[in-house]
Amino acid sequence: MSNKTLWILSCLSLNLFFSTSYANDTPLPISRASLLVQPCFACHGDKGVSKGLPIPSLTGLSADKLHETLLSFKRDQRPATLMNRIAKGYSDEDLKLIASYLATLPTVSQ
Amino acid sequence: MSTISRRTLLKTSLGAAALGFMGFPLLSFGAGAKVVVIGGGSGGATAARYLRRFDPSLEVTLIERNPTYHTCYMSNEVISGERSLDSISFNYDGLRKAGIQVVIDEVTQVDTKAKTITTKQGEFKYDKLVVSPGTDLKWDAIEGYDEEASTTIPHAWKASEQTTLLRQQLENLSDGGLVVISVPANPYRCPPGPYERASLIAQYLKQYKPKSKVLLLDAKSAFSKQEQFIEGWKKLYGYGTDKSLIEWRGLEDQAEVTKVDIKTRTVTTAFSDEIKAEVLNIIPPQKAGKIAHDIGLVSESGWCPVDFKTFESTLHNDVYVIGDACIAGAMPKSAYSANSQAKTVAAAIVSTLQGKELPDTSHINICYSLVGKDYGISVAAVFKVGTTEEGKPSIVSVKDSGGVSPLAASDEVRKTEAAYAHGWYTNITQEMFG
Repeated sequence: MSNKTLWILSCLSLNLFFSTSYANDTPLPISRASLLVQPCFACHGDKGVSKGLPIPSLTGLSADKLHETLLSFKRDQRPATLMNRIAKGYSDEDLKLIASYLATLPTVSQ
Repeated sequence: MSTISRRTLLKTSLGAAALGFMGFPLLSFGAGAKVVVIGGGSGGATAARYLRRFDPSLEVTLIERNPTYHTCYMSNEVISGERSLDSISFNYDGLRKAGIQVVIDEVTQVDTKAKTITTKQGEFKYDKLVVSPGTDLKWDAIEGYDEEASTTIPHAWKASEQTTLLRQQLENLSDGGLVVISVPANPYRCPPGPYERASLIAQYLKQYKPKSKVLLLDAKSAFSKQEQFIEGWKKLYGYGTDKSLIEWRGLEDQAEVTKVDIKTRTVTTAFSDEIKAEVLNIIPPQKAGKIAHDIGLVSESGWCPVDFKTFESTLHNDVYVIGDACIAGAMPKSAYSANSQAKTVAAAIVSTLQGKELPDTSHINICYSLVGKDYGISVAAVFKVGTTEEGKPSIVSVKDSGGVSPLAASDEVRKTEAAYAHGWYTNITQEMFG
């Protein structure tokens, strides 16, 4: 193997190292949607995965389904102990942002 | 041809490698900045974890005096015998795994000009400092009740030995003996906590010491979730009858405890009533934790004024205060509030380090209280930065949202809320401590 080839290989592996380390450490976004959602996890589990049953996880649902559910809570059209009181604290647009963000979460906590 | 292609590849690769080196700091403008968090409770632990999540390149150090944290929430279940002290105990291994440097040490000095923190063992530099010191008890507020007195007359408002002490005293209580809980005026940590405590002690008495009673002596005229608590007390503990396991006296009765005689376990109220208890639990008035006073973060109110959006101290730049110690408008002093504020403060710090604007956001607070086994009630609110009715900037609750569990709800609803209270505890502590 020539010196040049070694160079190329080491450069490639260096790139691989950087891209991998970056991928594992993807920062949590600081967007309005992200910030609106984070307080939900105190009840619904870290990153939306609930280990404290019977509180449900917030992962694995489509944005449309989540938005519809949140709107039903807000309008008292869905039975709830508490979520009806919480959902009323957000505009319909914010509930849509929240739903869209939640729909992107992986179903298993990483 | 092959040489050229190799050269081209080499150039591309070197270019990409350079991008790898240079791109990382570009992606993360505040890379390698030092953020120190003082206090490893509900606010501090959450803030440390979220700082690393919003910017994994940050160097985050958490300084905490004790290697183990006991949550005060759910400690009423330890007092009533429903759970062990171990079950409300957490260490910092989860934070260490998240890449946070955890230092178990006591802060002795903070120099906000030089941005240095001195502990008993070492010194730390910071670019941004988060202080989450919780509350301290005002030992001078009730005559005769000081730190020494608390070794025999527990406050149990910071969990651990104090919780165990109150539990032991309840176990030794004679059937027919009186339990007195002294409750302070607002603001204090966990507004519904004293009434949950009375409820769960009554639950224990009902089973083991049915001739006994809990008497709440309150400095206030009303309290959190009052109607819901009283409804539950009537249902479960005969409240309002002559055999009631709970009695509440408030401001109208001038029931505020002004003096404690620790030898005879006798309290004197503002009305000059003298009441002798067999088990006495004094929850004294509170103020921001000592370290906040030492750093100069406290106003005359005894609490820490902060910017309502970012939680940066209004008294010192680059120092942020969250949790029970800060003045957060309508947000109560609770674990949930501290957790919500911690997420915002982490985003605020990372945004400012990266030279970006922090988006507007909102907060949530939910406080579950257990009135009895399978009987839970809650208060919930969504908060945002806004103005009070007097037109002052503050954190206000969103109009027509939140509120307390409905009255006259079914047994099933109460049971579900009790289950949710326990589910919440599992989830929030896992989010905080890993």
